[in-house]
Amino acid sequence: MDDVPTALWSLLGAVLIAGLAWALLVPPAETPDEPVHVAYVQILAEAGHKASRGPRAGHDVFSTEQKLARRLSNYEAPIYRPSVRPEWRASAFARWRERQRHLPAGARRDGGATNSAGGNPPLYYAWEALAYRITAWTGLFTRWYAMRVWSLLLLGVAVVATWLMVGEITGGERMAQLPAAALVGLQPGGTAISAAINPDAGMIAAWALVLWLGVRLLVRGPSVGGVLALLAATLVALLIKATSFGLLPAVALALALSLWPVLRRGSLSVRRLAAPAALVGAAVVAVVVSGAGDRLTRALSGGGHATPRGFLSYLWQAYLPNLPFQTPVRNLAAFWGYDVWIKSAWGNFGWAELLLPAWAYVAIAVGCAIVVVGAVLALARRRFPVEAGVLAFLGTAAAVLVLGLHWAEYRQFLDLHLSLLQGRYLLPLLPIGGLAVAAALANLPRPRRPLAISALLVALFALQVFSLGIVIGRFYA
Amino acid sequence: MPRGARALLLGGATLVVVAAIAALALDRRSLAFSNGVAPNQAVATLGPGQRACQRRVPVIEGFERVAPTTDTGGRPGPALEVAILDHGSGRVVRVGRAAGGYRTRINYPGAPTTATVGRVRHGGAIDVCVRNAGSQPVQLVGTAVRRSSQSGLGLGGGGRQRPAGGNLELTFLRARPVPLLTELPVAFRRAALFHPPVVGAWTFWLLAALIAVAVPLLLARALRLAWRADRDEGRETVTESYP
Repeated sequence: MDDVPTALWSLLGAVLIAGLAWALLVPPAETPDEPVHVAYVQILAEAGHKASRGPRAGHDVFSTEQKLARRLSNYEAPIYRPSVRPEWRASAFARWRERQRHLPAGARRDGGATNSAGGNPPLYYAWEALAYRITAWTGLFTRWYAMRVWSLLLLGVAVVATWLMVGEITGGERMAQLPAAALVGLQPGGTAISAAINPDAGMIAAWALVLWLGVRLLVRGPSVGGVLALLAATLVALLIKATSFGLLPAVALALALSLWPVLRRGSLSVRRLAAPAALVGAAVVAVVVSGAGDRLTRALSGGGHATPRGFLSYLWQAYLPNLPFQTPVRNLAAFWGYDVWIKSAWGNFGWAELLLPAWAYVAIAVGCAIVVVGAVLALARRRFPVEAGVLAFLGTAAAVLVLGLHWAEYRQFLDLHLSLLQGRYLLPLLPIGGLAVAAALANLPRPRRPLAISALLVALFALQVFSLGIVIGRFYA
Repeated sequence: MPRGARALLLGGATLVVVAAIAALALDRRSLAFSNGVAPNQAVATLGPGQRACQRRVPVIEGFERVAPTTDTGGRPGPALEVAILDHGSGRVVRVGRAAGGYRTRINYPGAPTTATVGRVRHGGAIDVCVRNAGSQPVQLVGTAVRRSSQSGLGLGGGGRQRPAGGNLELTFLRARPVPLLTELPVAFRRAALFHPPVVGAWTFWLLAALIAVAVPLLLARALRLAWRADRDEGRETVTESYP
């Protein structure tokens, strides 16, 4: 099958093995916010409704079943506490199995209230609820790991979408598709979060789909199917996390750029517009009903004394040294850009307490800088030709996401003097990073590219192996 | 695929695996086990001569040293006497002493206060009693509990202990550190707990083997097939930009 080449299958095999190791090796709850996401899935799967941010009579944050699991596995104590380990006693595991077996049916249905993830739209949780329902007859930890593995499949979606996106741009050049997709599949931050129960896993996949379909529309020109697919993927992203509103300007741009020639010719009939228009209408309804709009409003509003000038000053200080006339942003890290884009996005595991050695981040930063400079050079020298419309589409998606996250963090600094941004929020941009890698490689003569791709794959493999080693040392020794 | 690229990928991956094994061999650890209590807050203040006992601590692994988590507010802390009692009989089985002068604070990592008590074998349950043998008070750190019945920490001497309203974090250490590499079998047995019934330590050995062997081979195969596909389309001879 030409559309699913064997090289891609091999890459997916490698990604799946590494992802399975992450999914099974990390103890339950030792990934960001996983307990509340599990509680959300459970109430959705058991009672058919979303978790709520507010209180509900007869409901707690966690169900009786989850609280029992928490207590007997001691999964909460190690969170943010590097000296503490999860439960190591086989007898405690046996006790949990025995107690779990005798829980009443209602013990699964009394959670889902005052849930900090309750404002999230439900689509990712609905995906996870499938795995939950399939394994509903098992104990909570079996369901937990089934959901992690199910979530990992979304990383495969992101890998395939990136492969296809780069294929659209390069005319199906495998030696460009492979490194781009490998970066998405084997970047350790992306693997770790995709092998956890966290809507950020869904975000990575959904954004990869939108980026691929947007590029496809721009490269191939408009078709009803292409427009519908792009709109549907955008709707999926919106129903996973409110941050996906950041995609709307880029999607609108892609639609405008691809439809403009048709509109100019006047060959667009009302009949052909009907299906996309209906989908847009359905999307608006779905977004309103899901509460994603409320979430976005909450994220972007408030911070009464927020000003454009203050925002620009914060942005400057996030990446560059303070200027003498600037009011310092309280609690803003001195090397914020490095901390978030490199340390947190690439190798920050557990509840962000697990780090690689400092030199590894320096090496990653150098590698990223080489890729960025190389990609810019390749684009400027036309070694890697990309249509201006495609660049504008991808650039808009990246810029709006980054600026939107910065705006939310700026507001949080004003209100609470606390940082908000974590590297995992930037991982939906991984496919663009993959494209940058492919572009940077285009500077090399073709006979040299296999060597460079080999070096990239070895580096990603090394990051995976050493990151997993750190996980073993943290939780089990 | 050019031989150099294949050699670089497979050779590089082999080096990574060898380096990972070496790192596991060089990573030496003293931790035998901890009692799983998070160091969230001070749960008791131990004045000079006062004693507190954390009861019913299961001995998961054998140990020689005990480190109660303390907070001295950054000032030099007092000497501590640590006694290990058999939980069932109350008999003192080991006693050790931590020298004074250590400085500790909650949430600030630093050298723990460690008392060498001698070899205690794994199995059974113990009570760990800490007595302030100095002239300054010291705070014991752990996790507060809502009900006194949940507190395993008692304050006072002899049999007239009153609940402290929390649990004390205790870290049990070996006399000498051991390489993480030799701990892997135990680590994988621990990793298999609270998993689906089909998952055992074997699962993690299998995954380790797959990562060490299958992942590099799959990546090499992906690279070879990608290169071959481009070659078949006549791309490998083109050195300029795409058509």
